[in-house]
Amino acid sequence: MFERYFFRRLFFLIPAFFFLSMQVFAQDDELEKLLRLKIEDLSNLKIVSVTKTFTKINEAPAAVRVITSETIKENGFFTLEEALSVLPGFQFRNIQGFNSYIFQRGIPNQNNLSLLLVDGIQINELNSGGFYGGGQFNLDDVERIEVVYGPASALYGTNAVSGIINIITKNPENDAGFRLNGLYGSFNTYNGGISYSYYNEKDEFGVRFSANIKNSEKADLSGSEGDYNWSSNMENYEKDYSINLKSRYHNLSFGLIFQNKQSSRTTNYKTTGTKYLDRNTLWNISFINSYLKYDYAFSPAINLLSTLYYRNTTINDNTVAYIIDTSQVGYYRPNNLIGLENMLSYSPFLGLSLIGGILFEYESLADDYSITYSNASWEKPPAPPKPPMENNTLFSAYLQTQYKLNESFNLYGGVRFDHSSVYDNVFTPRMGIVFNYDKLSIKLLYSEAFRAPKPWDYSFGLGNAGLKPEKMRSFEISSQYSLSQNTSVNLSIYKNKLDNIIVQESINNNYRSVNKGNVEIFGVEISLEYKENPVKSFFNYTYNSSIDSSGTMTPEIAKHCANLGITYYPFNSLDMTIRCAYYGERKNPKLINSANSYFVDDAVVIYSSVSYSGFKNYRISITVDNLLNQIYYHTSNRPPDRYRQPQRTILFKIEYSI
Amino acid sequence: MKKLIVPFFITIFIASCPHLLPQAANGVKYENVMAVYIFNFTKFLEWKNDNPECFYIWVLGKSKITEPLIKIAEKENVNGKKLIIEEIKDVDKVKKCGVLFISNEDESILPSILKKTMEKNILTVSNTKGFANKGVCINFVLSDDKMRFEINRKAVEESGIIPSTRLLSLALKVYE
Repeated sequence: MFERYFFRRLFFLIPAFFFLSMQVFAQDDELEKLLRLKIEDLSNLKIVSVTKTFTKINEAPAAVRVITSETIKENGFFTLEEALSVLPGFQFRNIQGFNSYIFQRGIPNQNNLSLLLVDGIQINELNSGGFYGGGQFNLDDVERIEVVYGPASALYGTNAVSGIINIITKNPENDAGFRLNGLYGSFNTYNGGISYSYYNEKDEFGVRFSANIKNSEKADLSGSEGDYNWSSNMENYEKDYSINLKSRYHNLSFGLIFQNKQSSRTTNYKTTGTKYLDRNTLWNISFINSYLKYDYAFSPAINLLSTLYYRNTTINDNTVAYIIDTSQVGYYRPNNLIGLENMLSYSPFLGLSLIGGILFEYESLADDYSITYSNASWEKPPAPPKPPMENNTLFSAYLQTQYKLNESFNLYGGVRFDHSSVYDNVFTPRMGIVFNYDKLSIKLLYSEAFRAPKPWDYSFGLGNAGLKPEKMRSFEISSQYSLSQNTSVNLSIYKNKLDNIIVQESINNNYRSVNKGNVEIFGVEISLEYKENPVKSFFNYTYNSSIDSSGTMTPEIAKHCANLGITYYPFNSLDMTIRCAYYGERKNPKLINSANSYFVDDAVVIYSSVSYSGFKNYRISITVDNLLNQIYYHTSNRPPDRYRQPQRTILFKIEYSI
Repeated sequence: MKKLIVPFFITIFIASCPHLLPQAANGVKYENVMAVYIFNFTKFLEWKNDNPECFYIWVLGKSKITEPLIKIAEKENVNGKKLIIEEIKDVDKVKKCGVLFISNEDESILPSILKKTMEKNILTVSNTKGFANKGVCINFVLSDDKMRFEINRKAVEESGIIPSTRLLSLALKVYE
């Protein structure tokens, strides 16, 4: 039954892709044209190859996918989750409010099963361990986003359970000059950004500064548009500010990222028929990531990377978390951490590479929110005092080995030891075999990972100091094959099991967190890419079967999802992108009263973008998301039964660079 | 089913459009650019001890650059000499005078490769970050999505090869 249902939904995606890719373009005479150019002209040509990075991504012991800055520009992505949505293996719960939840490989969570890094430094919120989705990431400043699939705690520690998302921002040496951009569009969406880079090759000194401001009301959720969860006068907004500063001098590099996200909390609650009000809330959270790195090569075979870092994630004291008919409620939760990591890469002889590191962290986290109440719904609450803080330490050591057995086989093994003052000792191994021959690459991988309990878990309700880490075990077979110079196909099949899941349990009219139950996930991810001037296209399909310990389907995870995208370059200064996303049917955690169903329907949504850079120093683009104004929803684990996703959204952007 | 029909046809239509419109280039494959660069290098470098009969370009290891180099060798020559492309697994197989492209080799064996090539008047070329600084004559780098190169002048001259000032002026960086 489900196969027929599934194939009926997908039948148009596959023919559309092959209709394009089976066309025979004339053999490119690119080489002929290049031979006629002067050597000076060769240095002005733009390179477009997925393997241009010169690193052996096909030898990495994991499935890795990269979203380039080019893809971000061509698609007009505005938020991190929009950029991730083109990849296989991702599903979302976007509550169109103060956060947006990203599910990588089949487990719904609070963004605490994937590790989010910016330039290699974690940016997951310190108290909950979950990162924030949304608009506070300046995508114009992104060089690429590397997504590693599968458990990676053997190198990165806690929260790298489903995978890692590493946002790599632009460096001074590869984006020299001055850039200015502005955007305006539907739902009062606007964005303004500026960046400047300076690089002196002779002195090996560079500095880059970028700043960005964003605002959006996201969607029309008032009245009937939002299932009558909120009034026709409801307020919904997100304002983001970000600053990024990077500097490099020889082997020393410094980075500072500041993000401030201010959004309403209206969509966190239903207000129609309840005591909650849907205006004047404010969730104000700031992130500071700063680092100092020293990269020193003792010899071609030995390299040391030493990183000192400071992180701060604070829910600021002017936060108004919610408003009821008698009061406004203020929250405050400061957290900070300092760490030092030393990583040594050593190649003692041909074919063997070792990476080892030690890490020490000291963190000061709020025990819980500090909360204050005002005396009336129209009165701001007093600023909450600093809450009691707890100080924790972490010591970690890790070792990863890569042994090149021969031309075709690489063996990997890795282990990490964590000793925490909170969750004691955790030992995390991983191993893999990677086979490369000609155009084929096959990876067999076993890895484990864990998610450490955070104050948000063990201080919740009655509290539970005995919480254990959630533990993941994963088996995966992953392969990549180049069908031709222009076409490649990737396939990943995995089986994961997450144990000791931390859930909230009701006890005598109160709550606490406990370790209870498990989830088993079987997944398949297929992707095809085709690149031949003037067209670039891709297709991916994800199958997820997520079953909990009671044998029932995990809510919020669709069995089938797919993406199809085509970018066309009719001439040098114009690119046109159209993308079609299929979101499969999902079980909702509760009954959706307005639909009288426990399921959120499947949907096909089309996105499009056109950019023109023919005017000197200018680039103009128009993006239309949800081109056909499809009505579709995300699941909900909150009082609203489900969440309406944005109607057709039109954005106009202009960029200037010198 | 009805709600899928419109998106289906729109997708098929858009997928068909490129075939109705003239093609144009936007971006080039990096392996083609590297191959043409290497061929061009032979015009701006002088080998002190030359092989009178033919000119060799060896590719150490598997690389996408081999195919475009072979295509170039089918139609071009180097100073009137036949151009021969060979893919090799062992650096001992290189003869005197020519170009050796080092394809992503381990840094740990680079010193032994360079020692052998310097003795045989070989121009070493690579595309791995930092290799020019480690003694490779010319190393390709990507700068702002464009293919550039760095030159280690000392390595070039110690290999018995004279670089032209024009080539040195085009380099992104010259290591002395």
